[in-house]
Parts: sequence; structure tokens; C-alpha cells
Amino acid sequence: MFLPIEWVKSFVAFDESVEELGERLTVAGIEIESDVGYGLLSEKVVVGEVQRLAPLENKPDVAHVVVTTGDEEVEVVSAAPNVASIRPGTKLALAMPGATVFDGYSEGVGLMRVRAGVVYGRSSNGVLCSAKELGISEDHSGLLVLPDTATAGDAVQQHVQSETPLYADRVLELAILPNIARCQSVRGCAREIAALVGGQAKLEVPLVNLEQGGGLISPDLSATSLCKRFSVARVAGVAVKPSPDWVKRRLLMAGVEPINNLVDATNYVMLEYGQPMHAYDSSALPSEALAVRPARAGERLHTLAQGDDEDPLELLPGTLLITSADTPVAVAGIVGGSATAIADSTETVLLECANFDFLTVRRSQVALKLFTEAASRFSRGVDVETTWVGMERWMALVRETCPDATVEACADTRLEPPVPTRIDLTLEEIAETLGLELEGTTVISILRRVGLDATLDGESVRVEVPSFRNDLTLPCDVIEEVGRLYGYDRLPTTMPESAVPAHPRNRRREARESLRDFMVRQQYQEMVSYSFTHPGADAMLHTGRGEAPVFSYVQLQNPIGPERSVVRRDLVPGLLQTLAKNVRHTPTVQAFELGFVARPDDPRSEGGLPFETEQLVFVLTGDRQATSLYRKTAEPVDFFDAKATVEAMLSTLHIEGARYEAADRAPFQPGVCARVFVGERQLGFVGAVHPEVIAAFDIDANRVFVGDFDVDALLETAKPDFLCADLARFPSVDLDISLLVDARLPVARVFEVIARGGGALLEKATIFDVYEGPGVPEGQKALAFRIWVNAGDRTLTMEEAMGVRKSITAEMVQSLKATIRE
Amino acid sequence: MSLSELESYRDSALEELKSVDSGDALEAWYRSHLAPSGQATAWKKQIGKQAPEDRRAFGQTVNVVSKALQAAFGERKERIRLVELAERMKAEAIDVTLPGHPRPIRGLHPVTAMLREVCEVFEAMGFTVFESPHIELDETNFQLLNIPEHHPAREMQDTFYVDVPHQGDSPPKAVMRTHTSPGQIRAMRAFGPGPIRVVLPGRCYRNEDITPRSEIQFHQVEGLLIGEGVRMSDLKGTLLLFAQRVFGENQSVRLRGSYFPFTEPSVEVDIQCTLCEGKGCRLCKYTGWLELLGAGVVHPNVLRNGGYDPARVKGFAFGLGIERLVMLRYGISDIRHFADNDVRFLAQFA
Repeated sequence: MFLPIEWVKSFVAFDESVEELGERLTVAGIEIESDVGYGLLSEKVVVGEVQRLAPLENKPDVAHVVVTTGDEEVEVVSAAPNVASIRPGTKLALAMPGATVFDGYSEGVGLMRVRAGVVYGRSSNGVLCSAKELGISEDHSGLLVLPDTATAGDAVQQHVQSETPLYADRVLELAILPNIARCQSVRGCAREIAALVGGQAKLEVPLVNLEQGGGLISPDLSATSLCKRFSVARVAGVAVKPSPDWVKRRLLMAGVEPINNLVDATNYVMLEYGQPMHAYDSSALPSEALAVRPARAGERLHTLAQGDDEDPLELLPGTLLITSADTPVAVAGIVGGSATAIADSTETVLLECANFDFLTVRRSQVALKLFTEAASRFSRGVDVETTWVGMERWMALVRETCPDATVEACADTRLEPPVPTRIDLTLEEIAETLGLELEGTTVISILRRVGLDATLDGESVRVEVPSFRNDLTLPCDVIEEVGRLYGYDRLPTTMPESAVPAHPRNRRREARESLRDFMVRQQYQEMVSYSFTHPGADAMLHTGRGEAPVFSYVQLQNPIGPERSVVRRDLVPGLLQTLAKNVRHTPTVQAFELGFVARPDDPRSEGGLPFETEQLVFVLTGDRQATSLYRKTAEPVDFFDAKATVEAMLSTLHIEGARYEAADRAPFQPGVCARVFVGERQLGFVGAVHPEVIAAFDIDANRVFVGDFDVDALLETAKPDFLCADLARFPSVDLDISLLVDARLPVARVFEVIARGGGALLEKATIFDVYEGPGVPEGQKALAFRIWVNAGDRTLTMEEAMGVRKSITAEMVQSLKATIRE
Repeated sequence: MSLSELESYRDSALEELKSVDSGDALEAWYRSHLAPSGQATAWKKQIGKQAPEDRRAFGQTVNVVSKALQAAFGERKERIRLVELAERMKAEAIDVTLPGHPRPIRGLHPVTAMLREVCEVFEAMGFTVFESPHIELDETNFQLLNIPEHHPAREMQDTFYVDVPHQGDSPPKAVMRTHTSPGQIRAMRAFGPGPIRVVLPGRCYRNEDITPRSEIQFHQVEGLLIGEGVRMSDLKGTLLLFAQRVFGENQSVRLRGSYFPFTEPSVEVDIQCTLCEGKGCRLCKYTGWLELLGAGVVHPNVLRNGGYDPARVKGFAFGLGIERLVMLRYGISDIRHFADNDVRFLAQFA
């Protein structure tokens, strides 16, 4: 909504500057989207001091003028009649590119946007203005010369005395939130401003009194309940002419292009009252008895929103139409038809001023993609009491250009009588909600200032809600009015007095956040990727493995594009994409993401919603430590770096008895992937990414390692309440065992045997050599372990230690067919 | 062997020690003098061979000489240690202006860090963190929050609608949550009809163009406090304390009227511009204020939908955007950095 200051000042007087007014409106909940001055009041119209000027060679009456704004020199080509008399040092009004001034050549009022360009072959980067261009008089006989006291670069408005500029104006653009539909009219804004500046709006305007009767034009509303009121008038004796300048000017300032007196008057009423209306050429209507009904399938109408050569608009079933003899003549509340519009020959007008259901108009404007000024108002709710007065106001406006206009017939049909809204509340409720004790008289005066009929009875407040405030239905709505208009800056600052509720700790979140911290301690960078991906993302992980399975995704109905059209079910594809981008500039990357994934095929889905869970994925590629001046040879990361992260994670979580086994699974390289599990519970996988997958994701790296873990499984297996092991008080005995086993035997099996053979005395075991080759029989490998044994409560004797060794080696020989090397 | 020979031996041994300047040479000197096979030891063995009347004086002299040699040896040893230490340190001196070994700098994503910071500030005020799903029913994301079908407020949020698997003819209408507010309903269901003091962190989604100022996903922290005697002034106090804890103890807040369907009264809460401290600059568009969050008194319909009696309890709620806070604090002008995950960007927050 564009609010011209001159127009609103005709309803409410205030001394505040436009800036102050904007501030008041902002704090009261009406945001200012823009603040633009026109002509003299534009901040882009500045004092320019003439530096030099010369007539153009082939156009002696046109001059090339160079002016300075103090900061810069600006070239302007001017054809003003008095330009020859201008001397260097003269101060002129310079409109800079981007300024909007008034068109000096138009009949009456018109606007002109200043642009940089080339005129007669010379660059011209502004306009030197006449008084008419500044909008302060009709004088366009030459450039306006400013007083010598003006300083170059100042806004011109500081140096021109003009109590009431003829046209120049400031316009505030207001953001209209759904609850302030009332501010989609100048009168509504005036009421709001009056309340904010402590004044009283004077809303009387000239009207022509209308009375019902006089002809068969009563509308037929029987086909719908979605038209709440329909007023109509037949006006004869009109002629199409330009509107008076003051009407044109107000329309222009409000962002509406003037067309002719009859159409302009409908727009003027819409801007002033917020009541859209439509004028038909009566002679073009098959019948003057209009009707309202929903569109039927296949119906079409050529509307004013379309070009002459465009096809008629297809009206979707359910769209509310105005019809004449059952033929559509307008889309209700949105736009009129072309065939019945005001034409140059129009002599009789049928005026429609109605009130349509806001939801219907809202849905239709979206379906038809027709966002008109009328639809914008109806879709937020229009005062049902302004249809009749709207026609009375239209008549008064039209009489200015057509004094002989006469109302031949008038009708007003209402679906149901208006039900007055009454809200009762108490001063105590206001105080309890706001935390602010207000006198009853203060509350009443605040409410009356915005036009509410409020009365006080002891501690009770009664508000009779006027029809223009359909946003007020509950006591809390009234309390908001009190708080907002009294000023939230005067609200005290208190802290909640109630006891802190005994909500359970969110241990799941704490554990998950600790896991994040752990990954950072392990030198991984956290990443936060899009929750959306493309439906082929998971299939890409199967590259190099033949046909991928079909994955089920949560599908977006209205995605921004195919790349982000489903909800991710796995973090790996997103992280590999991010990795590909990063390795282009940073070859060594260690990163992780812990986040949400949706698996609609998981049976754990609840309450009609897809199953959501959390996944922890880490990736690493590049070098273990960066090469540098001091370390010249690169040492690439390998599987065991990734596995070390897993081992450290399991240790941090106190997950005992975790096991690893070779696995063959996407997106991993066969032979370099381990499944990690505890008993029956699978925790995740760690491995090298399949070279074909690395290529599919276009990652410029030889090897990439990934760990992929189920956060639920990790946190449910974790033992945050582990018992702390005491440090050994007696020295351990270490035993070395070398053995030969089948080359294909996983070392994990040997550790299992050591654990079994070592029994209670086993403290820990490590492997320190794996060897295959000369000196070891074909098909076998040599392993070397160091094993520590400790009884905990005493020093072990050598005999006991050797006993453990013997039991371990015996197990090795028996279970693994190992050869012990002494 | 005479006393004079002993003294002359002492002088020559001490003289010899003076030229000893390394650990090895010192060791050799020790071997030839003080070690069991050394000369000083040999002198001691002579004591018994002296005439009885000379034995005492001779023995004393031998001891004196031996102690003098021991002392000189000790001094020399320390001198050599210090010299060698000085040489070692001289050899170890380096150009300290050379760069250190490269060490990667990695850390939490700034969004995670800010989510935590915000939650921690509220936790210190007695709020508990409560989380809810990313995919919500239309009912919890809109309807129960006083946003019925075709409500104008739906236009304020461009929603991603999703297909969810279902049995039967009527698929549930589901959305990617457009705000963390559906968590209010879930918290009320979990804790109602008792008092509530929770913060709800989470990722939200809007169907918008991806530009420097708008993203399809972002993070919010919602707050909800319900109980007897809760007032709007408590909201102001709580958010003032929050602003001071996060942006500095001198912060002040400004409440502006606004509109949210699930609160009434509704306000936007501004803080003093962090760049110009309220004097007016480009960041705050010369207003001196920056928009921090939206808030208000919980609408009675929402309380009722959550199972509360609005005549008995009241509540306040607020919701703030995390990316916005990060951008304000670090002067980031392009929101797309957050989902881009360029390690060079992220390393700055590690």
C-alpha cells in the first residue's frame, strides 16, 4: 500500500515529520517498506552549481551544462527557454538519475523518472528542473533559479519556500500484514495515524446521497453464499474525460495510473475507502440485473488484465463470477471483462460495489495468477459497510467532471444482516497479560482513538467492534491494541516468577552433541548440508556394482528443482558432493556430518509421518599430515586412519565387545570395508570408497575413506555410566608370541583366541608384526604379538606368566592350526 | 716419598686439570688420579708405609691433597657441563620467524555453535531443550497453531509439501516444517497440563529462491514458557537478558507490534545495532535497530489446542533465526556460505 502524505493529511493533521511518522507506524506494527519523495521532495533532487555551459554546435538553443554537486561534476543537456541566460555560479535544481519528478510537458500532472542517457549526442546525467518539474507550480517557462545562499549538494527542498507544494509529495509504502487489512486504505491509515499521534481523524468527504429503488437492477445472489453484499447503481449522463488534476495526482502518488474520469473514480474510492468497485458500460451489458455464481467448467472471459490479442482467460470451476444474463462479465473481486468495460462512447454506467468472501478471492487470485489491487484487498478482508458509501463517493467524484450525471436506479442486496461483534474483558485481564496496570480511563481513551466504541463499567471494558476492524474478535486482540498503542516501550521488564518446571534432561541430545565434540577432537570439520537431494543420489553410491536397488524417498511436491527434490535418506552422497568441491582447492579433507535423514520405508514410521533418524558420517582423504618445509614426503591416509577414528569413538562411548568383519557393501571398495557390530546390533561401516564411486562424484582424489554410523545404535549401545578401572598397582609381565598362520586368517580371530587363552589375567594384547614373504612358507603369514598379563592384586610369578603364555599358545595351535615360533 | 713430593704431585695434577676441556678428557684425568687405580689412591696406600711418627702428618696431607683434587674435579666437571650445554643450545638456535608445522584447523559448523550458544543461554534461565521432527503434519505445522487452511498467514511462509507413504485413501497432508513452532504443540502434548519452559532448536524449510539473503533451509530456536501468571513483561525481561548475554551487557531491546497467528499480542523484538551501537548505519538502515526475533503471548486457541485452559494459564513464545545471528556477529553477507561447506570458510570458526 502506497500512502501519499498529502492525501492522508487531508484526513488527519499532524506535526511529526515523515520520518517520525514512519517510526511511529513501525513500532505500532506497520512496517515501512519504502519512503519516496517526488519532485521537490525527492532526496535525489539536489542543488547544482553551474560550472560552465555552452550551446550545442548544431542546436544553438540547447545547452550542455556542467554543474557541481560539491562531490562531483554532472553533465546535463538542457533545452530550457532560459538556459541561455544562465551564468556560471547560478544555483539550479538538479534531479539525479533515479529521481522521479513531474513531467513538464504533460497536460496537467504526469510523472517522469530521471535516467542517465545521451541527448543530441552529448551525455546527460540528470535533469535541470523547472518549477513545474519540481511539482511546486504550473510554471514550465524555464529553469528554476535557486537563491545564492543554497549550497551545492544540498537537497533542494531546504531552499524552496513552499507551504503547500502543488504536486510534490512524499509517499510511504506500508507492508500490510494479514491483521492490518484496515490499512489498505487512506482513511484506514488516517485512523491509525490519529491514534498514534494523539489526534483525531476528520473523515468527512463529499458524498452524493443515494436511495434504493428506481429500476430492475437488483442483483441475484441466490447461486452463492460467498457474496456478502452487492450494491449496484445505474448512472446516466456521464461522458469519458480526463480526471481533475488533483485526482490524477493522488492516484499517481498511490501508484495507480490515471485512465479516465469514470475508471479513476472507482480506483480513487478503492484507495480512499479500501473498497474495490467496478464500472460497466451499461450499453454493453446483456442485462443490467447482474448475478453472482461460480464458474462452470470450460467457461472463459477476456479480461482487462489481458492484452487485446491474448486468448480469453480460462475460468477454473469455483471461481466466483459476475454475470449478466448468465454471461460472465467480471471475475468477482479480481478483474472486469473487456467487452463490458468503460469505452470512450460510454454514456451510462452500471456501478458495482460488492463484498466477496476473502478465501474465495484469495484462492482464485492464486489459481488465476491475477494479483490485482482489488484482489489484494478482498483477499485480506474488506469492510462490509463501505459498498453503499463507496457508490455515493464515486458519484461525488464523477460530478466534478460530469455535473449532469444522474442516478437512475439503485439496489443493495445483503446476504445476511450484519452481526455486531462485541468483546468483553476486564482491566485485570489486560494487566495480567501485559504485566502492566493501566487506569480504566487510559484503556478506554486508547481504544477510542483507533475508532473502537469502548466503554468502561467498573473493572469491565466493553468494545463494540466497528465493521472496519474484522481482525478483532477476542479479548486478546483488544489487549494487543492497548499494548501496541500505549507503547511496548513503556512495558515493564520483569522475569518469570513461576518455578522452573521439572522437565527431564534431554540426554539424547547431550549424548549426540558429545559425539559431535568427539569428532572435532579427532580433527574432523563439521559440515551441515542440505536436507534435500536428488532421487538418484543413493543409486550413485552403487556405481561399479551393477544395477542399484530402488530407494524410497520422501518426495517434495513443489521442489525448487530436480537437484533438491527429495529428502535425503543418507548423508553419504551429500558429503561426497561437498568433498568433491573442497578437494579442488584443499586436497586434504577430514570432515563429518551428524544429521537428520528420512527413511519412509522404515517400519518405525509413526503418526502418519516418515521415519526420521540421525546418521553420523565422516570422510577423509589426502595426507595424514600436510607436507611442508619440514616434512617433504607425503604420507597418504589409509583405511587404518579411518578405523582409528572408529576405535577411538567406540572407546569414548565405552562400547564393549565391538567386532569388525569384512563386508561388501556400497559405496565401499570390496576388500576394504568393515562392518562394525556389537552382538546382534549393527553400528555401521568403515572403508575405502569404491573407485567408480569416487569417479561418479567427480572427486579429484585417489582414495577416499568413509565411516557411516547409525547414531541411535551408537548411543543405545554406549555406556555413559561405565565403571572406572583402577590403575594397575603391580607391574605387568609382558610376553611376546610369534606364530605362523594361514595367510587368509583375519587377525581378529587371533585376538579372540588370545582373549580366550589369556583369561582373567590378560591385561591387553597388541600386534607388532605381520609378515608374508621369503622365510615364511607359501600360504602362511608370520604374526607377532605382545601380551601383558597382570593379576591386579599382586605381582605375578614367572611361572604364572608362563602358564598364561602356554595356555594362549595351546589355543592358537588348537583353534588356528598355528605354528608357534619360539 | 716425601711431603714435598706429594705437594709437587698435587700441583702438577691440578695444572693438568686446568687444560681438561671435554667430558672424555675429564674421564681420563679421573682415571689417572682419583680412580682406584689412580695416583691419588696410590698415595693413600703409602700412608701405612710411613714411619709411625710421620704417619699421622703424612696421612693428613694425603687427605688434604685428595680432597683438593676431588673439589677441583667437581668444579671442572660443572664448568665443562655448562660449556657443553651452552654449545648445545647455540647449535639448537633457530629462526623463530619460520612458520610452524602445518596443523589443520577444524571445528564445529558455525550454525551448530550458535544453536548451542543460544540454547545454553536459555538453559541458564531454566529452559530445557526439546526437539521435534523435521517433517510435520499440516495439522501441527499450521492448523493447531491457529493457521487454518487458506489463512493469509500461509502466504507469509512458502511451504514445501511432501508426499508421505500411507495406507487408505486419504494421504496425510505433510510439510517440511516451516518454523520450529510445531514443537510448541509437541511440547504441550508431552508436558501438559503442567508448566512448560522449553527451547526448541531445529532446521526449518521454506520454498524460496536461493540468494545471498534467502535459503531453502535455515535454523531456528523457538522458546515456549507456559504457566500461571506469565506476563508479556516477562517475555520482555527474558529476551532482554538473552540479548545482553549474547550481544553484550549494554544491549537494550525494542518491541514493535507485529503479527503471528499463534501469538496475540505479537511483537518483533529488535536489538540495538551491533555495528553502530544505535547511532544509525548502513547495516541497520539508519534506524539504530536490528530485527532479532518474533515473539508474543501464546494465542488462547493455541493453548486450547495444546490441552491448556487459557483462563488458568498464560504463556509466551519466541522464535529466532540462527543464521541471522551468525551473520550479524561475524559480518557475513551471504547466507549461502552455510550450506556450501567450503572448508576455508568453516575453518574461520574452528
